[in-house]
Amino acid sequence: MKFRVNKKQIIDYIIRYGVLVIFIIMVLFFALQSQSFVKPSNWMNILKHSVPISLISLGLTFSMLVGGLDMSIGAIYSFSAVICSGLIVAGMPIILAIISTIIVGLFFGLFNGFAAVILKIPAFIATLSTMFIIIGLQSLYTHGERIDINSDTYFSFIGRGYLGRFLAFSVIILLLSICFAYFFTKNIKTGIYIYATGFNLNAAIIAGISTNLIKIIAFIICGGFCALAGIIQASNLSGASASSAGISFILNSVVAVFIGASMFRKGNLSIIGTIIGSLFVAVLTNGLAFLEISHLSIQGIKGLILIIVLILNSIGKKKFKYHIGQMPV
Amino acid sequence: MGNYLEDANKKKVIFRNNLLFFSKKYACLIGILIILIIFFVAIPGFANISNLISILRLISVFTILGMGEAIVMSMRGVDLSIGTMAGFCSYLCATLLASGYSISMSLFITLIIGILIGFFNAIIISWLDINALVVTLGTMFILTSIAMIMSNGGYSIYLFGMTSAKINIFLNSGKYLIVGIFPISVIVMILVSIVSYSLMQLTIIGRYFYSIGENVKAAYLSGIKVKPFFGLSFLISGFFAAIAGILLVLGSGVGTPPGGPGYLLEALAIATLSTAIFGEGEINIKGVFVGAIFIGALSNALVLIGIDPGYEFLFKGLIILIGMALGTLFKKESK
Repeated sequence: MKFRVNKKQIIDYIIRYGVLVIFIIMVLFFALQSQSFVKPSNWMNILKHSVPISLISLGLTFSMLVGGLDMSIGAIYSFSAVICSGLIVAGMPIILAIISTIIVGLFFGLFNGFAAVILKIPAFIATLSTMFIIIGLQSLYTHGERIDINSDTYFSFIGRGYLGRFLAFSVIILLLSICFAYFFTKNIKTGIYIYATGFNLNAAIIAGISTNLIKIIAFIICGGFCALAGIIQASNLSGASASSAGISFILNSVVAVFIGASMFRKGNLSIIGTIIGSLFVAVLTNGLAFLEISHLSIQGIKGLILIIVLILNSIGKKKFKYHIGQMPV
Repeated sequence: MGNYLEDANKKKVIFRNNLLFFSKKYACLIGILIILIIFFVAIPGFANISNLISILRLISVFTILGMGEAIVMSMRGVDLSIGTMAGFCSYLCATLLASGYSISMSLFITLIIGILIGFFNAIIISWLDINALVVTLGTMFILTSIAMIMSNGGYSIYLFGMTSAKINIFLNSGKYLIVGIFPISVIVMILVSIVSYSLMQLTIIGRYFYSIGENVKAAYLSGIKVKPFFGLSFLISGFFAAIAGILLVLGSGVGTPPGGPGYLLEALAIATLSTAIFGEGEINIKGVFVGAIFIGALSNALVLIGIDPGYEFLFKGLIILIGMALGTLFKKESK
């Protein structure tokens, strides 16, 4: 019997499972290097730490589905941590503080959507300027001082509480958010329209979808997820630091989203992929910390992984000679 | 009689239209001029000679970075690593000088490294067809990490503490003022501006750049080799970033490893503002030049007023937004 090898299929498999193989090799490597890496408590710890990254990456997935890389995610995340802590310190009831923080996040999302869609500014420039505006607001609000909240209140339960002995509460919030995002994009009309707008804008317009509104909604959802991540982080640290995560936090989420994109059907974005990507980033961060590699080289390693994943993504795609990696219009 | 009235009416209408056109086209420029005049008159210490020299130094760095960013953005690319590249090159140049290389050698190596980083970007973005935004984001963090490892965790190199003759010559040339006010960096800035202006406006390469930015498929079908040209823009931005890095060392005598995006915000602000300044709706080198002067003066003025640094971020973010919104408006009108 002749054994035929389909070259295209092999390339497809390499792209789809290459990152997964790297992930498994990475876990094995860290496990061999450090005994405490494989302990179950460390895994729960990794999950707990991955919550903000995963939430922000979920938000970024929405904005990238409609074709706009939201650069303001890191800034919205830190600013909502600051706002939430500030409101609680000022004596607002915790539920109200959480709700108003999420409203602030949604508002920034709306602002991004307005600038990108209505004013027709290229999305990354619009969100970049939002990022700098938010960094400015944060600096004005904190005056360079850390905001501390009393860690005894039940606010700290959100980020640090455990249900039973093992299951962290923040992980449950993450699971709920994943379920929301998944069912929103699969079962609810608006969510399906977001996919439709992202994959083929002209077809979506012809099909009668008001794409502008859908794009704005995607940006708003992105802002909301970032605000939620900020609230959890504020509870985690019982307070918020004055310095903004700004541009350095974008890297984590972008890496997560693109790793996720590489796993499913030729580089399409998906909720599940993003979550796997965020786990990848969280494990990488944790493992490198165990190897005592300094914080700043971790960023470089992530940058390198980002570029490698992008190259992997681009291998199988059909290309024309005039495809040169420009920004979308 | 009737004819005369009609003529007068026509003239009035034409005059009104011209006025409208003129005010729309140059509103941004006039606004910038007014703001600059207000700075000169109202802020004590702004019109001081030593302050003006420091503004000129700042502007020359901003202009060069803005030119690099504008050339990349004219083709719908973007280079997020440009600020970090400038920081990296300034650190590299200071390191080379401190470790005993001759001035010409260390400048040469710095420029070559700048071009090589641009080449890395160009290969991945242009030939492998990967979105410029994401690739240069990766490059930015890789460069930050390399600089951190080189500097053992972020220690700056102070050139003015060293007693080497070469370094003294280097620092003195940085202090030298032409006609008592223009530092050397201004000459470099003007040279870079002339080169970029002639590249973008006078040669066929500039036409190619704009046509690739406007419609890449049409450009390809009309026989332009789009990949090398798009890659070239990243080489240029790397080269300009290296020049800006050298000017940074020349001005301050300190090589600081980059800890973040550096002058990225300013470069992007200048490049996007250039679409609005002359009312063209397109990125243009004249606009970059004026925008750099504006952003440089604004940065300095905000420091002089002693305002909370938060406002600086706020203002610059708003300027990018307003500039870009106006630019898109002009573009829509001109079409």
